[in-house]
Amino acid sequence: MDAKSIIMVLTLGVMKDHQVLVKTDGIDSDAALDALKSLIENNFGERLSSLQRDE
Amino acid sequence: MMEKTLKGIPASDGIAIGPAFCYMPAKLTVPVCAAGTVDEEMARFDSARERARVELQSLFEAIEKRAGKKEEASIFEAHQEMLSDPVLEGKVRAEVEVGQTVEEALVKATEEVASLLAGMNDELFAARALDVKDVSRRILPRPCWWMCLLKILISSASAQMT
Repeated sequence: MDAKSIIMVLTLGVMKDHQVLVKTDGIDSDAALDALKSLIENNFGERLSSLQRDE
Repeated sequence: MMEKTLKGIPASDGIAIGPAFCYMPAKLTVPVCAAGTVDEEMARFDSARERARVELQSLFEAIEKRAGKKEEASIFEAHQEMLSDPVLEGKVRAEVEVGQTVEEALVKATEEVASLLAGMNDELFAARALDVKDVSRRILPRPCWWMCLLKILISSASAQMT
């Protein structure tokens, strides 16, 4: 699954509280993993208010 | 002098006067036209995507400028993301490589991706199929219509000459 493809990411159907396994590969795999880790830890840049509205 | 400031969210931006924009979404159909080489077709795909990207960027900026419309504007950011989706591009290229025009390839690739999303259990995800179709409609290269017309005119002109 290519995480660069928003379509493929959507088809995963990942929702709140789901667990995902992230694998990276290639010369910049460490940097990519770090970037994805901080993205997830920072709520994908979403503010709390917009998260609450969705619930 | 008495002054009172009222705060609120504007319900309307006011009255606008200007040329009307006719919203007539194009159907995802393609003109019958001979395919060029793979490179030619993909070059048309790239320039059509670039045109669509500029369109989406100006829509994003126009809507973002309106107070409190940041979230509405973000849909156009998501559409830009879909525009450059490697999976969509890969499907288009695969179709072009077997001799399809880029328009035919895009319609087929869009149907594939859209049905993938539409088949999802969650309504929110399934509705994203419409976004993919929206984006493809925006990409669909328009110059081909002119190319076809030109080809028909040239062929009828040469038919008259002989």
